[in-house]
Order: sequence, then structure tokens, then C-alpha cells
Amino acid sequence: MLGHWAALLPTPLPASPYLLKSAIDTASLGVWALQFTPRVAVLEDAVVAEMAGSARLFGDLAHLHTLVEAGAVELGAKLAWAPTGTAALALVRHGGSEAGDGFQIPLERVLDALPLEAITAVGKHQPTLARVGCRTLGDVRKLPRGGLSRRFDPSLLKALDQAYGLRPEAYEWMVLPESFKGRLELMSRVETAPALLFGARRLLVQMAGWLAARRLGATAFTLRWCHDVMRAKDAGTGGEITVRTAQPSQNVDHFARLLTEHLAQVQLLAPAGDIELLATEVAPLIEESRSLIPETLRKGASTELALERIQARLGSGCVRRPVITADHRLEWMQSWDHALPKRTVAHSPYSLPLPTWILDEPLRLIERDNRPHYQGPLQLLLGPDRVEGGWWHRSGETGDARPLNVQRDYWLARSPHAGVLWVFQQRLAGDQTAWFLHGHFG
Amino acid sequence: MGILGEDAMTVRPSRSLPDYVELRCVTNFTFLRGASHAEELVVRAKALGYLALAITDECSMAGVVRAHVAAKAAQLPLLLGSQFCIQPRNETEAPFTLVVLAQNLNGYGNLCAFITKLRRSSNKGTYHLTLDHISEAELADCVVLLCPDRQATEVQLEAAGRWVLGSFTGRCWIGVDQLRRLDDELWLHRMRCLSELTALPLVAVGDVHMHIRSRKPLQDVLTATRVGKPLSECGYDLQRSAEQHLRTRLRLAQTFPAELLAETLVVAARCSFSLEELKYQYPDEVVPAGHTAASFLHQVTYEGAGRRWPGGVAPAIQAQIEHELALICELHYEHYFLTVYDIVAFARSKNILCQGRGSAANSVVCYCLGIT
Repeated sequence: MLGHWAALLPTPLPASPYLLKSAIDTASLGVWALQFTPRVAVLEDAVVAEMAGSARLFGDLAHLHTLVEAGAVELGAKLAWAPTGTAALALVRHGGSEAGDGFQIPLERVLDALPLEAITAVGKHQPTLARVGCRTLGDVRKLPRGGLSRRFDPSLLKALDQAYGLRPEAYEWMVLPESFKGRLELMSRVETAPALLFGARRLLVQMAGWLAARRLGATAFTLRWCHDVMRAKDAGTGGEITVRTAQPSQNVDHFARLLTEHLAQVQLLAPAGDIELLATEVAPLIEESRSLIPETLRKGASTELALERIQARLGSGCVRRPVITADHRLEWMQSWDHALPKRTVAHSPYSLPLPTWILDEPLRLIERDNRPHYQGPLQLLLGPDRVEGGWWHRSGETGDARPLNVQRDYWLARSPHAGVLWVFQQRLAGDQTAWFLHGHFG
Repeated sequence: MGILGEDAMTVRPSRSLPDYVELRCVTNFTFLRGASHAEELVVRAKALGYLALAITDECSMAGVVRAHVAAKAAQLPLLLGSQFCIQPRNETEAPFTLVVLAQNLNGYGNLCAFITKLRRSSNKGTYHLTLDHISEAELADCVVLLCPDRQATEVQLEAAGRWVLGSFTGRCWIGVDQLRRLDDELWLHRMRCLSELTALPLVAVGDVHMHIRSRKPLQDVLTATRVGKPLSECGYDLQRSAEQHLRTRLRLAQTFPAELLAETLVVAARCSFSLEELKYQYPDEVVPAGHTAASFLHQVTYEGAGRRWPGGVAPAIQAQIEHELALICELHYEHYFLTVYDIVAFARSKNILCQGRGSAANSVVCYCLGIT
């Protein structure tokens, strides 16, 4: 029930020279967040997104944090991280700037210190709870659960449990829109075209998010502006410019530079109050493959070369291949090798039936009345097949290496319940013999 | 009655177990395959109560002398023979092994001549044999065992069986090995079918490569040397198990049907040759046609005496010559004297310095022949 949640709360940008009238809306924020994970939901007045699943695609969680934080600053959203969505939302509302990360200390301690309003379902009952002396979520949690469920509506306990990760959270995930259209109301009227860029940049960041989520690149986008109602009569309702790029792109800085150049040649006929950005033409972006399997392999190039490249990427220990070895001992007939030798096929000189599956370690069988048992008494069908060898073979170089010499009589046996088996009899120390199960037939 | 003799057939070390003669066994003279000395094999076979042992090195008779000496000491009847791998001429044939055992002196001679022919027509250490190279007459007075390969198909088996039957009628068997493999039973069944088809009797063979099981590591090392790889890479070239040793008769009785074990005695009974029968055979060329060795020696001696004593041979010397010639004839040494005489005469005619016999022999015949 615990994940890696980000909560994004829209806030006005205090540092912007052209203060925007309103903070970004949650829908736009959600569209932007969809480039990081498909699990994005609007929760009350914020956006929550679960990112643990896609962390690997962005390198690691730390890198993903950096990306999301940079975007949040640009879009004007406050960010907090927590193991649950509800907790992240509570933190983003009421945590200090230093407490934005719910992973620094245990979740209970983070949440216990927060005021009642941090969780809406709890905040609703603030007057009642305050009268019984509750000031923080921790106080509420200490109250008897039975009493809480009887005196308050069930959503209180549910929200509390969800925040603490005791109950799963269920959200309706956002769906990425088919086309991009972002709109922004400017705080003050803008009289020169280049100044539009400050507002347009936020829309460009949103568009880049949408493009990334769609795996598209924009080849043309249109910026529209609406003239203020207090305009001259001949000024018209507004204007627009369309910017084209040579290559499909998602790069915000590139878009912004192009837009700057275009806006420098535009004369605003009247002060503008609203701007709108549309991705007018998009094309699939041919990205550099991040796939593990090289493109060449899919195109039918040599497997050997492809394997070598994969081995180079992952490290020599991570790629293994099955090797069929000419060896009379069953456990050595096939092995998994790190090296990538030439494929050699060793043909057995015997047309013997060999088991489909073999056990890692032979399993000693119990004997009753001098008969081996495995899920019932075994009926020996065919044998013996004597295998001797491996006296030169040791399990390692060290002193405790054991010899891998075998001297076994193999039999084809049938168990009433386990089917046809490959068992062997082996002499043990002290003139004892024992039966072992080594493989199953398909 | 063959080499086993009356005693061997009647005196049995253990009556409860069937008697056995190992008919296919290589010594370490089959280089890089045999892992035991001939002596070890003989002693072990005797200890296990085998009635006889056949030494059948591959295209070689090199092991038989040591085996003969050891067998004489151990009082174990010995069969002499050899085995040959017969290469296929085309795809309808499969390689198989032919074990050839000498029945008598003539058979031994034929077998040796056959090996010499094969070895001289190939590079040193190798031989190449196909069915074309074997004629019935070449291996007269020998018995043969057909030991087919397990990978052979039924058609190939039948072809080999019919060839053996046609070439060695009445003195051929099918040698069946049972090496504790999963397909032993199937193999025996196939061999029984072949036997029914060709009327060739089946006989048990052990295809022995070592005298005891614990020689397997040495055998493995030999195999590795033969194929020129480290032991760990030899794979299926190594023997699957150590079964190709001289097995106890108890184990043999558990492994082979009784009639196959009994048939080994039948084969052994057909072979009566022993190396004891061999003597040195002097070349006949030293005696001209119309003479016996004694008469020719008599003639050349008196010719020589005429040269040594031109004035006439003294009666005492003549008596000495007659005495020596009588002794030589008694000991059948005429050929020896004539051979040396022939060599010395040749050397003199070519002005080659030669010494002949030493003078210490104090022999007037030698003096007359000029070989002292």
C-alpha cells in the first residue's frame, strides 16, 4: 500500500516580474505530470502521482526527484513526497518547506505532527475534535478507533488509514488528452509582444510535458493572445503566431528561443490579457532507443554481436547462455556460462532417454522393503545404466573442494503419482547404498 | 579338443557359477586404449576362475609373448588373436569390429601375415581395412567374432552378418557385449534377431580394456592422450563406465544369458594353438635342389677339406670330420652351418672383411667351411 507519491499543489509564482493572475489549474498540472507516470490523479485541489513504478526509466528516484522539482518550480507548484498520496497531499499543504520529503523520517512521525486540516476528511470535524483536545493528526490517531467510527462519518477513519498506509488508496487516474491546448490568464495586461514570453513559457513547459507523455515532438505550435476588452475598436479580438520547427522537438528552451525571435517582430495592437498555446502539428519523435535489445538484433543482425553488446552494457556477469557439454554425468551435460563461446553442439553417442527436468541436487529417496519410494513405491522400468567419471573434477580450487566423481546406476522408474522418473542408486560410505531422484520426464 | 584340454573342462573352481572364457581383450600394446599389462590380465583372469583368456590387441600380436609367459606361469590357457576395425565402404555399411582368433599354427601364421600386410600398406601406427581387403583364404584356420557397433541400423547389421557368414562359414560367431548401459537389453534383442536371420550363434564378449575397475582413471588418461585434449574436454570419448574390465563370474552370470557364456567355451575349444609350437625356421635357399641339408653340408665340408689339405686328408682328421658331421646331424644344426657358410662365402666373393665363427669352436668342419 506504500508507494512513492508526489503531491503537486498549484501556487502563484511570487518571484515572477509579471505576476500571473491565477496559479496553474490542476488539470494542466496533471497533464504535465503524466510524462513521468501514468498514475496521476487530481486529489481535491492538488495533483498526486505515484512514481515508484517508473523511477527506473528516469535513471533512479533521485534523478526523477530532480526532474519533477525543476518542473514544479517552473510551473508554480509546491511539491511534497510521501509514501501515500493522502500523506503527500497533507504534507504539501501543511509541511514546511524543509518537511517536503516524507521519506526522511518515519511516516507516522511526519503525519502525527500535522494539524487537523491537513487531511480534509479530518479537518471537517475540526470543531468537534478540538473540543476533545485534538490539535494534530497524531492526537486523533490516539483516540479509540471504535469511538471514532461510531461518532464520525466513515470517511474520517478511511482517510486517516489511507494517509498512514493502512488502507489502499483508489483514485481515478487521469487520461492524457488527444491534443494539447493550454490557456493562461495574465495578471496584468501586457503591452509588448516579447513580454508575452513570460506567460508563454509556462504553457511551453506544459506542452513539453504533454509531448513527452505522448512520445511526440511538435513541428508547429501556435500562440494566441486575446486583446483586453478595453481595446481600440480597430484592434480586433486578438492575434496569433505559428512557430514551426525543422525537427520534431520537445525542448522547452528551443521553443522559447524560437518564440522570442518571432515575438520580436510582432506588434501588439492592444494590450493582451489571455494567452493560449496549441500544439498544432505533431509528429512521432524518433528517440534514441533506450531498449536493452539493440536495434540491430531486431533487424536480424548477428545474435553473437548483439549478445556481446548487451554483455558490454550489463556487465559480463549478467549474460549467460546455455552450453551443451559432452559429459556422461547428467548434471554436467548442460550448464550456464558467462562467456559467449562458439556454439558447439555435442551429440550424445547414446540414444538414451534423458529427463526433461533435472533437480539441482539429487533428492535422496526413502526406502521401504528395499524399494525406493517417491510418492509411492517406484517400479523400475529399465536399467541399470552405469555412469562413472569425473574423478579429475573438483568443485573448486580451495581445500574444502569436494570431488565431483560419480559412480551411479541409473534407472528409468515409474512412480504411481509422480510419473516417469530418472533415479539412481549410489554406493555410500560403509557399504551402504542409497537411491536418489535426479530428474523427471515430461 | 582345443586348448582347454580335458582337465580344464572338468576341473572347475566354482561349480555354482557358469564357466567363461574372455574372447575379446586388449593389452597395453593396443596403444592408448589398453590400460593393463598382459601379465596383469592373465593373473586376474586366472584369479577370477576364467577357463581361458584371449589376447586380441588391435591389428597387433605384440602382447602375446608377455601374455604367453605369464599364462604359462599361471597355468591359464591362452588364446591368441587380434581385432580389426573394419571401415565402411559406403553408407550401407557401418563400421564393426572383427575379432580373429588363431585355431592352430597355420592360422597363427595366416593371422600374422595378414597383420603384416595391413601394417605395411599404411603409415606407421595405422591400418585401413575394408571388406574388400579380406579374403577367406587369408584367414584360414582362424575363427572370427563379429562385434557390430551399437549405432548400426538393422540393414547394416544384416549386411555385416551375411558377409561374415559367407566368408567364414562354420567358424564365425556374433560377439555381444553387455556394458551396463540402458540399451543393453535392446541390444541383446537386436543381436538375437540378427542371429535368427543369419544363423550365426551369439557369444558373450567383454571388450576388456583393463584388468580391474580401478584402472578406469588410467584408461581415461590414455583416451585423453589419444584424442589430444584435456581430460575435462574429452566428453563422450571417455568410456561411460568402468565396465570394460575383467568382471567377476558372478557379475557375468547376472549380465549375460547362460547360453552366451557357454558359447565362449565352444569358441575356445576350436582354438588349440600355443606359442610353444613355434621354432626357428631356417631359410631353405642355402640347400641346392637335389640335396638334403646333411648331404650338402657333407659335400661342402669335404670340398673345403680338399682345399685345406691338398696333399690328402689325414685319417684322424677324416674321423674327426665324420664325428662332427654326425653330431651336427643329430642336433639338426646343418642349416645353421650352411647359413653361416653362405654368408661368409658371399662376403669373401665381394671382398668384404668378415670373421665368421670364432676359432674357439675347435671345429674341423668350421675350418673346412672357412667360417672360422
